[in-house]
Amino acid sequence: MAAFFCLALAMPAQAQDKVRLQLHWVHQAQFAGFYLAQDAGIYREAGLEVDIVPGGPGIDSLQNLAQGKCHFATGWLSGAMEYRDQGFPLVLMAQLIQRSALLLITFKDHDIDSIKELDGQRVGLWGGHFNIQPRALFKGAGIAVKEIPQNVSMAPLLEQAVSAASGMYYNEYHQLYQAGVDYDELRVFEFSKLGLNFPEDGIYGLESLRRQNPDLCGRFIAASLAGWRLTFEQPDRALEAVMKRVDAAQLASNAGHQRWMLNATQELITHRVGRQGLGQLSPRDFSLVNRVLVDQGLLRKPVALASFYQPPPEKRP
Amino acid sequence: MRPHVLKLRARFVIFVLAGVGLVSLAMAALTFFESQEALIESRQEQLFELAQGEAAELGRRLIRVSQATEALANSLEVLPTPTPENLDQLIKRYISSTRRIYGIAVAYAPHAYETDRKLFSPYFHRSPKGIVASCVDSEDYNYPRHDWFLLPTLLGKSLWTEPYFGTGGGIVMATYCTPLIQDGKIKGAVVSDISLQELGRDVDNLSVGRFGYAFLISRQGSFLAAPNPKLVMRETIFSLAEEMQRPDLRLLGQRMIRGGAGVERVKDWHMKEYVWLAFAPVHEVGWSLGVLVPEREVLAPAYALAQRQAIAAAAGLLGLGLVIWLLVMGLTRPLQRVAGAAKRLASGDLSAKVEDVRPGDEVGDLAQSFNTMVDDLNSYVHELTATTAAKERIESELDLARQIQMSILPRTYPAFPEHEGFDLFAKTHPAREVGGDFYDFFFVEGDRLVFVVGDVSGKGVPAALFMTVSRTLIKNAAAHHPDPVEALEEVNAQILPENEMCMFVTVFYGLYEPGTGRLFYASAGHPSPLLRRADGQVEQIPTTGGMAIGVFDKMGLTRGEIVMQPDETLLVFTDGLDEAVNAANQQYGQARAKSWLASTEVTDAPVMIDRLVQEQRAFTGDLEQFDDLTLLVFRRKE
Repeated sequence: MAAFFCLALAMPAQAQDKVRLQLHWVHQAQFAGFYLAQDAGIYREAGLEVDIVPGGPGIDSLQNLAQGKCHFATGWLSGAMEYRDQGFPLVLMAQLIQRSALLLITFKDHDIDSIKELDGQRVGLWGGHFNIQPRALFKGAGIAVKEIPQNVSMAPLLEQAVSAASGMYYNEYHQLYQAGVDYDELRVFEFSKLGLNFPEDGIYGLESLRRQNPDLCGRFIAASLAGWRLTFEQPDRALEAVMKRVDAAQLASNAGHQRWMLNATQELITHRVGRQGLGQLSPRDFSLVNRVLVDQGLLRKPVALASFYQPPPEKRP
Repeated sequence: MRPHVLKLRARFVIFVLAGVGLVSLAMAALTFFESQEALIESRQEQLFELAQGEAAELGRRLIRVSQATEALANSLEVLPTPTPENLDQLIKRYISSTRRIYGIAVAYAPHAYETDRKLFSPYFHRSPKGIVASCVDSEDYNYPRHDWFLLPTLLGKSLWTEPYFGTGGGIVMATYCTPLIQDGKIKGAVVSDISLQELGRDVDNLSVGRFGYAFLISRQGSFLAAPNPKLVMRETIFSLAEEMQRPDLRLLGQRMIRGGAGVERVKDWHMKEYVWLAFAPVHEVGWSLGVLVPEREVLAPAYALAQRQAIAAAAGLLGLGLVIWLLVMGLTRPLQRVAGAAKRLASGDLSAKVEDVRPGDEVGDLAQSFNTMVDDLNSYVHELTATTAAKERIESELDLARQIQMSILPRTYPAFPEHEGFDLFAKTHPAREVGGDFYDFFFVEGDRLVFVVGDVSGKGVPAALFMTVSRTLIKNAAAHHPDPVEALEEVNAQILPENEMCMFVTVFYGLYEPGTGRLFYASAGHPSPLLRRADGQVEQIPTTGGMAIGVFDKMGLTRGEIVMQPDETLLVFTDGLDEAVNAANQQYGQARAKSWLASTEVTDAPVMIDRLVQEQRAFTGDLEQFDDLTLLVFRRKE
């Protein structure tokens, strides 16, 4: 916070810059830091007027970014690297989620004790970047599963139409709990512990903006990270900001779930880096993703870290 | 003793009311708890039946939907590759045939309808404008990954989806989906939507008492219908349990979504009160219908009953209190009357009587006894008054008699002023008003002096009368026969024949010759007088024999004779002197009289008598003496 007030004092006369942030999913606690940065006036103090646009099914935030529909976008590292490889001029400005929240979930009574036992079984997989890790996992394990396209619903798993389904630690895992499934009924395979810890949510911008207006980028990233820090300090306030948007969008969610997601997200964002190291990209994780993507044939060649990861100069006094 | 704080009346009322109140309280509590139990039991059954009945009814409605869907799927199985127009007509017909169906889609698996057509799924739904088509087979929507297509085709069986917002139909819906099988292969799915809003209305309209309501949850615990619209499609019973940290609610939810049925007493969602919750599965869809009623409503009749009982008991107690009050009034009012009468009586009002007390009971007996007592007391007092009056009359008469008696005894001093040769005085102290002692002195035959002291047996009026007679007779006899023995025998002869009362009298009779100093004397049973010599020596004069007058005709009297020297004093006394006793029952005795007489220095007869009486009274104290006392002192001067 102190950083912010100083930041604000440094450029009191600056006109408000209008920027648009495209999220890669619907409003939920996964993005709480951005909401709080807005609601607590952190963006305004930084001379920014931020329009936060929710994502959802059928919305590709990074594609929107590449098409110039927004100034900044959130998205997964793996997907961003693919787009970079395909020539989209986007750069990573801050890496938020350090630990992969992606899970493969099955019921204990399905008797699947190891990944190998999924061979030939139906496994619900999301499309796009979400299936990179599972596919790498299956390939590494030398098994072939019947991929079943997965939607937001966990009904296929609950109805036993699939043997295992994808899920996010901060979302579906808890949704199952809220559907009456006890945690100890579930068996969970965490990619972060299976040698496939892909960093997930990051803040991206176009290379051109980064080059032409490093000050704007710096202010936006610093304010967003400050929003996250404030979120960790005042989770109730953050939850309020989340529920305000959830309610306005008439999303089928509840405060209990969002609180859980907020806690989980904090865990994932501060993993290893703590609150002070927010936004850093681990080169080791980056090279892992590079290796797996190349291995999967999703990248023609490894993405160069220096050109891809360009955190803007932070306006710290 | 500590006095009672409360009157009898208040005590009665309080004790009886407290007792009766306690008993009725206990009875009321018993009734209350029993009726409470009975109410809960019956309400439980009723609630459970309601839940089951409504769940079954919901199921029946949904079965109509699923049956229609199956029928459509069946007809498509045998219809080889219908044209899109045929499909549209078929779908519209099925929609209109079943009221509950909101929309129907026939969704083909990718490339299953036409090889070069990836997605094909005609969809129609109801709208204010009638049954209209809507697009669900866009690339954006990508139906093959939605539950309603995925589940039946993957599982090869029919099922209901979880409720969801149907983009094509524009409402929150649940969908019955059944696989479309042609030539033994799953070619797609035939699905029918129902409106959840409509369903929710049915549930909301369910009447469950005044404060009760019904709710519906899905297989995943989501609220499909609930009075609070914020719950619907957003919260699950488990999210509520998580937020409120209610493991009991989570367990209940699990029982519900697993097809359980039952009745439970739980805290409601808001943790405000206990509710009775009955739940039953809607078998067709695997949902669960719950109906709940606040316990206060279930128990309201018990409370109402308790209230009525309390009012009745209060009225009863009031009435009882009144009755007791009146009853005790009936008891205590006569008692108060008796007490009042007793108080008046105590203050001296002998007319005090207890009026207006009905006889027959204990208080009546008491009043009667009191009245009898007052009567007795009155008659006693009257008697006493009469007796007292009589006594007073007698006393005054006696007083008169005494005066008369005294007046007949010579009381002048000096008795014979013309005779200076002797000093003579006598005095009698009757033990009662009148006495039997007497004395007398008179001259006979000119110059001889007779002095007499007598003591009649007995006391009081008879003795006094007898004494009067004796004295008169002695005086008469002495006039004719001055000799002591003759005079006394004459008197005895006169008294004896008429002495029916067998009274007798002892008499000392002295005949003194002033010139010579000679004293002739006789004693009819009388103690011998004491003689004090001039030198102060005291002795009894020689005793002469003889019986008292009035006993036998032969008295055996002898005559004594002494010569009194000048300055010698003779003391004649009755037994009232020596036989007087003190408190220690010691007689005064002649010895004390003698020594007093020896030592006294007074010589005048009246003074001597007074002193001796004083001396004797000093010995006896205040003790009442029963004998008359008579003293006569005779002193020769020259």
